[in-house]
Amino acid sequence: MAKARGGITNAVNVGIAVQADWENREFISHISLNVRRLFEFLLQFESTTKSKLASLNEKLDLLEGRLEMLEVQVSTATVNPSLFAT
Amino acid sequence: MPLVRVEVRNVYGLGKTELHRDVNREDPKAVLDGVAVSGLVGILRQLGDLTEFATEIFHGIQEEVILTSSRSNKLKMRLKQIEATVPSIQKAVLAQTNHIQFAYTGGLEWHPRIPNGQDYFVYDDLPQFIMAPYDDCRDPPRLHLLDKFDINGPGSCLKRYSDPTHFKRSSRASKLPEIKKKKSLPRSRDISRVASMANQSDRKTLTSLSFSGRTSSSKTASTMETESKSDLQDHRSFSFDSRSGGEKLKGVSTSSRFTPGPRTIASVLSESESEDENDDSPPSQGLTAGGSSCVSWHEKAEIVETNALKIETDEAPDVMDTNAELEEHGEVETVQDIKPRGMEMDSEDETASEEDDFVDALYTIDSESDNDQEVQKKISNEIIEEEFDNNVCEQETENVSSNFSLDHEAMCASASDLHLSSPLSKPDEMIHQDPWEALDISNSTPHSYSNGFSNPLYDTNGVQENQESEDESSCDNEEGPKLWTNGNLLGLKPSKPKTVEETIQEADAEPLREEANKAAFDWFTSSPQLDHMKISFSNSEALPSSKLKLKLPDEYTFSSFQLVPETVTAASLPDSDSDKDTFCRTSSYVSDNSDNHSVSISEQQSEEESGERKSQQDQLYDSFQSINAEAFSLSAPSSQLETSNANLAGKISYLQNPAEPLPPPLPPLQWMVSKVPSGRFEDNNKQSFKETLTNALEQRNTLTRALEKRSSLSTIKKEELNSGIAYAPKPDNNIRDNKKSHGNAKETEAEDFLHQIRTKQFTLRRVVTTKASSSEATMNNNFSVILEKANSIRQVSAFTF
Repeated sequence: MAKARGGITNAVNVGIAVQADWENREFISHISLNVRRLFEFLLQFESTTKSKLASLNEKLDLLEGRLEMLEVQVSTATVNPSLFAT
Repeated sequence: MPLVRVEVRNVYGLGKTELHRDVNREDPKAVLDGVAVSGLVGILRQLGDLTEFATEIFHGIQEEVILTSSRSNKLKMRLKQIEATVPSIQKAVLAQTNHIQFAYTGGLEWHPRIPNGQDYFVYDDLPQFIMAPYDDCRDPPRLHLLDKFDINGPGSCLKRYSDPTHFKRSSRASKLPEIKKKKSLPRSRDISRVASMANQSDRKTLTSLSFSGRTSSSKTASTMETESKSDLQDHRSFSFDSRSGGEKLKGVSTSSRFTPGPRTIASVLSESESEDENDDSPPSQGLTAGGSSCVSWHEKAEIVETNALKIETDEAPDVMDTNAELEEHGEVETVQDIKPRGMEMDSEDETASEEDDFVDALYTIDSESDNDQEVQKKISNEIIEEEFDNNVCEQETENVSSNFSLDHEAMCASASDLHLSSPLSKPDEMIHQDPWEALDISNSTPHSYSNGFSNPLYDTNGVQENQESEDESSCDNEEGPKLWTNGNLLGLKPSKPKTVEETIQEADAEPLREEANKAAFDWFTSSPQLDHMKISFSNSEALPSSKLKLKLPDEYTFSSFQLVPETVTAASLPDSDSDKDTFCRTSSYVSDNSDNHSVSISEQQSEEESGERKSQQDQLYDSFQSINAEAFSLSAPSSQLETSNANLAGKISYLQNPAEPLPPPLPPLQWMVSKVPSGRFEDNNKQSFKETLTNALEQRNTLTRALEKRSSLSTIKKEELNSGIAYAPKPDNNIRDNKKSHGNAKETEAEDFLHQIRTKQFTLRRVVTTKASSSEATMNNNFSVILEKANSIRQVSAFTF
């Protein structure tokens, strides 16, 4: 009887342990899922910021080109004052 | 292939397995707890990975942001500098009177120097997550195994096949047919040179195979087969290695030119010559760079001996089969296609380059042995023999190319057609003209070359494609000057730059045009102006206007004016003053202000002041009119009133002029009332005016009498009623008597008033506006009296009706 009772208790304990294990795994899965979501957020954030920075850099490139054009024009105008001789 | 940006490891994988592994298995709870703990540990590590990833990301973002901000700041500085210099230039430009000179200036000299600050295809500048697949990929091929066959020692093969300039040189060599044409003649002289050249970069297996087949007659077919296999496999390996390098143009070109054409050592020699001339490098370097043209005869023995190379053997039997077929075809064609060389020496070189490359492809292995000199001599002799045989084949191949060279136009079209339509026809020809036949391969296998060399077929197409492309480029170059302007393409002629004369002519024409425009403009504006137009209109319908004429008195000072009705019988008034003044009446103005004027005439005033009679008469008339208006406003007009009014009017007229016959009866009161407010004064006779006044008075008298009678009747009735009961008290009777007496007294007064009215004569005179205050006071008193009387009359009339 004692063994039987011990076996029963063991089974019960195992059952309880298994149930607890299920709960623990569920808890862990929730946490890991949220951690993955954090990763995804970081990835998305990075992609958006880099895309915006890239567009900004493109605009800066255009501006640099135009500025360079203007600089050349200004330089030619200043270097050749005879152009403005009436 | 998807790029992995970050890898999130498993929770339980991150956790230590020792936690649940080294636990007593008999205790399930401990095991499971261990598992849970390991999971939690894994979570913690995941969080750690997360933080690292986050730091990496934000660090990169921060760097990029700093870069962009620095760029923007630099742009700002440059812009400020430009803004500082622009005003001076602007002043100078605005000070110009004529800006035409700017049209003849060259303007600015533009030299763009935009640096590429960031490369995405350079090894050092790639991000880590892109470099990761590179790290994970396989190692480069083991070219060090070929170093033993290379003269330059270990590492030479890897260096050679990883050098892009190597392939560039080979491509240049293939694109120089003119040079090769010139060099085609002294081929024989170079044979010895070739023989001395020890290093051959690639494509030597086939030539070695062929040479080995010819030189060593003692060699058996089996050895030939092994040689062919090894050589072909080596060639394949090297060619594939060259392709896998990606940067080896030589490999691509050679692979494209891997045709079983009449590639011989002679072609190899010509190629080597061209390369040497182009490169101006020592033979060794030329061999290393353009080593495809070199032949190392001493290497053949090593190729035959060495079996250490790991080569695919599937293609070897196919190669052998094709070689046998080529031999058969070649023998036939050598008999048929013998042609003078002089006609086609030029075209020989075109194919010679291909052949050279093909030969280069044969010689893929460099050997280092020094004992092959004798072998080289033998090979050189055999080369000369084979040269003649191969030239025949070359001629045939050149015929194909010569057809292209005859007509450029046809070539341009045909090239495209050939490229599209029959990609395999010419390769077949090329196959038949394969150098294998000249090389006397003793293989008797059936022709299955096409099956084995699927790549060469494609390569043959590539060869012809190259020729065709070259021809097309030549065609395009010829057509270049026609297409340099967009006008031709669009069907328009190009616009020539205008000369100075033309500009002057245009300048002269401009003012003429402007004048013409102006003339046209003037013509349009020559229409008559609105000022000169006469716009007339007539008022067809005359507006109804009053018939009143404004007449101002002589002594009138414009302080006030009065409407004077048109009077026909103005002079007939006997009672008027000596002056022939018109009857003035402040009709509308006065009537509006004095609605309650009663008809009353003061005897004292008429006697004292003749000037006031007219005013009084006016007042009476107004009061009469007001009474009539009130009477009709209060109740419906009755026939009795009309008759009474008529009687009154008649009596008034009688009173004024008893001697004269009675005038015709006046119009009814309604008509008179309606006319008066409009301001129209239709009374032409003063008598009629008088009559109206008298009528009003008589009406009042009749009304009072009627009231007294009724009152008396009512009292009598009451007395009769009260007689039965009791005698009426005497004071009541007395009161009644008093009332009666008082009423009788009133009647006597009215009669007297009427008599006075009848007897007196009204005189009308000019209305003179007097500013005397006393007259105004009397007028005011009279008005008040009249108003009181009118009120009493109103009350009586209201009682009756």
